[in-house]
This record gives sequence, C-alpha cells and structure tokens, in this order.
Amino acid sequence: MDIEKILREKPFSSLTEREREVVLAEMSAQEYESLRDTARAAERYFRDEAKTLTPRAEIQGNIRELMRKKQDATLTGRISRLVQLRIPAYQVAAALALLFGTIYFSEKTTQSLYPSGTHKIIAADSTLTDSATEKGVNLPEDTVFSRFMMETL
Amino acid sequence: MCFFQPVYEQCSDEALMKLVAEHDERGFDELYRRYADRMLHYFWRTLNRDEEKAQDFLQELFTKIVEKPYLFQTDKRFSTWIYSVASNMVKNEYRSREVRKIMTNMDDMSYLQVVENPDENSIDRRLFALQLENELENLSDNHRDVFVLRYQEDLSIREISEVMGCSEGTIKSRLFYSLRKLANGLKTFDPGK
Repeated sequence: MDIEKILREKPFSSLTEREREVVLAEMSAQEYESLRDTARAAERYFRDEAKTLTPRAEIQGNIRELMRKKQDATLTGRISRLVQLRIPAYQVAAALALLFGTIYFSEKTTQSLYPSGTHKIIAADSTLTDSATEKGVNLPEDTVFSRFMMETL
Repeated sequence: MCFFQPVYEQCSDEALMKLVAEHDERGFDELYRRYADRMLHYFWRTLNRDEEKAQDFLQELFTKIVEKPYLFQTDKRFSTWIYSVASNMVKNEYRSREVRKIMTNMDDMSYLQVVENPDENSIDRRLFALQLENELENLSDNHRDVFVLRYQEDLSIREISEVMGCSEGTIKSRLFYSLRKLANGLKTFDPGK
C-alpha cells in the first residue's frame, strides 16, 4: 500500500481500517494530517506560481527556423519538405472535379462540331492529292470544294 | 504526399515526436504547446527562480529535441524522457556553476509581490510562500528534484524513478523525507488553513 498516494487522496478520517493500520505503523494521525496539509499547500502554491510564467515569444519561432534550416541543408530534406505538404481533402476533391469537368465539357464541345450524321472523309484520293502537291496547292482534302479544285487543276 | 492532415491535438506525445523527427513543424508546435509552460516552470524552480536562465534552458531543451530526435526511444514515454533530459541539464548546471550556493534573500522574492492591496490572508500566503521557498532551498538537490517532480509536475512515483534513474523505493523515501522536513519547517504557518 502506497502511503504517499493515499496521503494525497484522503484525510485520515476517511481511511479504511486497513489503511489506518498501515499509516499508524509509520506515523501518528496528527503527522499524517500535517504531511497531507503540507503537500496540498505546496501543490496549490506551485499551481498559482505557474500562472506567472510564460515562455518568451521568440523561442518557438527560433526553433521552427532551426528546423527549416536543418531540413533545407540536405537535398533529401528539401524533397521531404515538399512531400510533407499536406493538402486538405476538399482541395484535392475540388481540383479533381475541375479536371474531369474540363475534360467532359471539352469532349461535348468537340462532338457538337461534328453532327452525328456527318463523317469526316479520312482517305483522300491519292492521285488528286499527288497532283495537288505537284502544283504546290495545299488545300483541305476532304471537302467538296477541294475536290472541285482538284478536278479543275 | 499526405492528403489528410493529422489531427495534431489528438496525437500522442510519442506520435508527435515522430513527426518532429520528420521535421513536421506543426507537430513540433503541438508538442511545444503541451510542454513549454511546464518545462519553463520546472527550470525556473530548479534554477533558483532565475527566469532568464529558465527561458534559455527551455530554448536549449527544445533545440535538443529538434536537433537530436533520434535520442528519444519510441518505446518509452515522452513525458518521462523530456523530464530526464531537463533534469540532466539542471544537474550539469549545478555542477558547472554551483548555483545552489546562491542563497535567496528577501529582495529576490519580488515575484511574490503580486497582491496590490494585501490583506491579512495574502500576507500569510506570502510569508508561507517565502518559508516554503526557503525550505525547498535547504533540501538537497536530489530531494528537491523529487519533491518538485511529484508536487509541481505531478509525475507518478514510477515516472520519477525513470527520470532520476533510481528505484521507486528510493524515490518514496526521498519524498517522505522532503515532506517531513517541509512540514516541520512550515508548521508555524498551519498549511492546512
């Protein structure tokens, strides 16, 4: 049984029979109360005293600065500083939404330029293309206009 | 890259220390918030209430933590470890400068003059404080350290034994000795009032 512990917790009058036996084997009831009062008074005093002390404001800043310098001294430190950048989840979500939104709408816009019934003419007549190249004409190959032009060359 | 910020306030001291070892400044800030006041008070008390010195020691302590985080063994409790480091710093100071020989006099007690219009009770309190300080001064370094760690810093007997590297039995015995000595010195003030 830890007398010091019960001394902090209970006055002599609140001790159990067993606790009293242990305490009285070491000291009188009066001494028990005296030690208890001293311990409690010291605790109170220390608590009040602590309120009057505040760490100097610059200490925290100085040490943060030291941390940065220490980290920047090595390449791995600089990389790890970058890796440590903590991005809030909502910012990540917003960035992804923006990215996918942009892709989605750009695809929509492309589709609207080519109505569903129209198909690009991919292959051009190679003979016409060759002759156009020979004559130094550079015209879109897939249009009716270009075909007309080719025929007139 | 970390997409989610750790909730620093909910991290254990040991987890924060890990973050400090990874140069996480916010981890350091949280650790500092938890311990700066307590450690300043501890230094102030154990360095003869020299506030300048206590502030310097506080900076030195956290500098050590940041510069040599690997000294902390993660299987140990941070609270015990930080007091061990602080206690060793104070012991070194005792050795090198013998600050214990500087005896406090009434002029040095100006920090106690916080009550502007003292009534009878406040005078009693101040006299009690003065006597308590004197009694603490008269304890040996080891006895005072144990008393301060127990009643000022609220560490358990087991924690104090780890900090000071002594058995729990030794700590209990030192504590009782200190308590008895203080109680004798303070009995005229009736601390139970």
